[in-house]
Amino acid sequence: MEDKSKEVKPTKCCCGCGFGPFLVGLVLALVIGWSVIPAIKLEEKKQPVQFNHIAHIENAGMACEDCHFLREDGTYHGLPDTASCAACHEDAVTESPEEQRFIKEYVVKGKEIRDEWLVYQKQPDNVFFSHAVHSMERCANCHTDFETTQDFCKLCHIDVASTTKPPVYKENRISTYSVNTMKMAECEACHANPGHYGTTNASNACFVCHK
Amino acid sequence: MQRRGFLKFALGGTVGLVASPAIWTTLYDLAYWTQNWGWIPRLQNGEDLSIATVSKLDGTPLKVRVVGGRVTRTSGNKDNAYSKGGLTPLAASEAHLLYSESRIKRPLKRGPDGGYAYTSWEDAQNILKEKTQAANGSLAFLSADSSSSLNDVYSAFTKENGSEDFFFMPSDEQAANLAWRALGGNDRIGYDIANSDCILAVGANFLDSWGSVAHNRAVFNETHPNAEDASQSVYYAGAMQNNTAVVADLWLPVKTGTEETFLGAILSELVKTQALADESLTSLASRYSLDEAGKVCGTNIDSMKQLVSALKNASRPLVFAGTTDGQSLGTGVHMLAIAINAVLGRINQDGGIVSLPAGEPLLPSAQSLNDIFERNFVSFCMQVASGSKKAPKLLFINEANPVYALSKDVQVKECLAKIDYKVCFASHFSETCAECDLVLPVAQGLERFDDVFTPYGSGNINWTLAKPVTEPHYQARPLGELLIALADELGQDLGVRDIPALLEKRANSLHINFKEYLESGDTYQEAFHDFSVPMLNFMPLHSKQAKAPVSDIALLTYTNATAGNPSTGIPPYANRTITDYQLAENGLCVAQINKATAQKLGFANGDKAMLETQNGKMPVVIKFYEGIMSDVIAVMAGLGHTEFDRFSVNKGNNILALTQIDMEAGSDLPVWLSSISVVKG
Repeated sequence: MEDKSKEVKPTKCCCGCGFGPFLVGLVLALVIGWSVIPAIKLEEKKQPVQFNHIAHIENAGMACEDCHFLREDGTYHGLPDTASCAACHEDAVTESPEEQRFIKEYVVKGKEIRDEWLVYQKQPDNVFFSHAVHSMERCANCHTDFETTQDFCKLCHIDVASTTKPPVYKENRISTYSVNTMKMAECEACHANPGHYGTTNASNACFVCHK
Repeated sequence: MQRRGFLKFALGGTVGLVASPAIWTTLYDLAYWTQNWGWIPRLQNGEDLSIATVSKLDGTPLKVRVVGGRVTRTSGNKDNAYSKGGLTPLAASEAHLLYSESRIKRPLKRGPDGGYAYTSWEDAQNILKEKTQAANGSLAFLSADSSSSLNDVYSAFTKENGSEDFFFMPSDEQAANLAWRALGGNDRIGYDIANSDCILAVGANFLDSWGSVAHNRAVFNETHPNAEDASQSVYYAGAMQNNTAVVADLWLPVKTGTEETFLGAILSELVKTQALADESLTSLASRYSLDEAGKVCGTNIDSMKQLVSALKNASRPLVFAGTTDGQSLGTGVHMLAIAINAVLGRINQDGGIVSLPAGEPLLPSAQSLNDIFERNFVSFCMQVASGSKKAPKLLFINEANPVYALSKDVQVKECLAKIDYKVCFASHFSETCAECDLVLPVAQGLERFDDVFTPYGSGNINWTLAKPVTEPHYQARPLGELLIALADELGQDLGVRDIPALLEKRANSLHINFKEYLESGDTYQEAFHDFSVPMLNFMPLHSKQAKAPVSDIALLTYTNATAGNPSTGIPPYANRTITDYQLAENGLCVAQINKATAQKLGFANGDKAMLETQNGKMPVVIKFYEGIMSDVIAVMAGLGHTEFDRFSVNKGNNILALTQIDMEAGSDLPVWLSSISVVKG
């Protein structure tokens, strides 16, 4: 006969319910799933120049449109080139070491800053996005809650205008896209909204964005 | 940890992972990762340019967007005063045609087995030299584009090598100019559409496929402002309610092939109330009447009276004729149109028919435009095929596709078979290329220097310069430069060192700055200013006799720019614009007729039928369209290619080959006949 007195009894947790290991596994997985894995997946990159938006807007009195504007043909001039920057920064205008480094490494050498700048919202090649048709003038016909262009741009972009140095650029190691790249669901928030059909002619058909 | 505890831990971990975004976002990331696989084409960024030039396919001024040296888009040029930003489907397809898979990539030489093999340009140039020398003056040259100054190089090359056999493809332009000069008109015929207040277009679909379409549309837009009264009225006479007819103030259905009777009736009605000094015109007009036209043309008599009244009341009326397929009506129709303008006092007047300088040849040996129009490629082919004319030893064909575009009656293939050596210069492999011994890839309009000088249908002298916006693709070379180099090797001096120098000569002849127009891409325009009225002699018209329709049912063939032209095939993206009313789902051509005609012939919508002429049979699908007048059957030309690429082949049949022609007495020009028989298929 088997000696039942030697049978191992199930371990119970401190509260005696027996779910201790389950809870430990659950909490550990949640921590890993919510914070560790996302952090591992993202590679942090620094912009080539620590550009100070506030200094340019408040101190130099520049407007957003001085650097970010629509060309005559409807294409968007999103980033200024080295030559545009050199219009003011051919020589240093402040004592900022970052400005002096920019002049030394880019202006003097004729190196193009646009080639190295990391675009937070850059769309993949298979998406056609036109800033011209997504203008504040068009949207403000109905949405009257934008007081400034900055408010409008913030709908899709990081609010870099309020920063003294560029936010860290986070790139997904698997997809290689910026973590801030707009996802299709975000586009569809407007494109799939039936309320927009009559006023913007922007349907949710594939070819509207994927040419 | 014991086994049961471990299982609980693992279960908790699994639940935790599933409840976190880790798995789902990783799947999402993997989906995005697939977009970056190496074989997926990447955008080629680079210098972004917008270059103004002109389409050599139909003379439409363009802005071409070039990114990193690659043409990405063609659009209308809003800065161009001639077209005002207008764009035609054919010009829009320039970028697609540049990268089309039907482009000839390297020189092709026919081998002993009858097939083609790639050869080098060096070998091809040696063959050209050898064959030209061996031809010893027995040479002919066919060019597809009459608006280019480069024809001076081509015709000078032909002449320097001992031949004057330089031809254009048959066209409305040739017939109209021969008619104009036969009546005593000077230089070239022009139509001042922009300054007319009342236009009657007979057959000429001038807002879609006739003349300078982009310019004509710009004029129409200006004269027809939104929510305001139009300053120009448009009357269209033709068998089909096409793009011109639908916007016209009045569409007058006129059966295909009866245009002479219709114009004669309009002339007779105008002459009734007007004393004419020219008695020959009065006697000519007496041959026609509205009643006869009503019976023969199928046109409503009251509508014709309304038209006559509009022409009389207009201050600057203009009447012109043409075809819907760009072929030829002969000279008689054009002479009658000119006669009506003469009766209305509209010769060499603002908004009327105007004589435009043809432009002196730019090179010493080049032939004048009017001399070239006197020569007739259709007669040449038929005579060579029949043996009544000695076949040349060498034929050069530049971007023309006569094998596809001309009726079987012309016997192009039989003619080519009798010519010892045929060289085809083309950018796309056409049906004509397939009949030639040497096929050489030439640069397209966006890859070469060229120009558009006062194209047919213009009302003023105008000139637009074409410049290369990209390097020639594959091994294509510009033909003009090639022939100048060949002439040099043969010890001939054509009188020009390269094509830019030739175009500078054109600019100098117009007294304008070449470099300025090279940079701006604008169209030079010189207003018509010769108001001297030529003494027109209408006696040649007396020898013309309007022919009664050969059959009860008349065939109307029409072109549609979305289907390309005989030299381009169907441009890749244009396929999507060919409708079910032009090409049926089963791959057969559609024959459009109205319901009354269908009932008369015993057809229901969607029935299969067989079109038949002496040149053969063609299966079609009947479709009802009330925009076709009674007793007319309309079929779109531009289908039924056997060459080019997968976008062009296996799509219907070639109606142009099925049509029959007759030679017009006096001018010896071909007249395309409308006779056809339709039976159940």
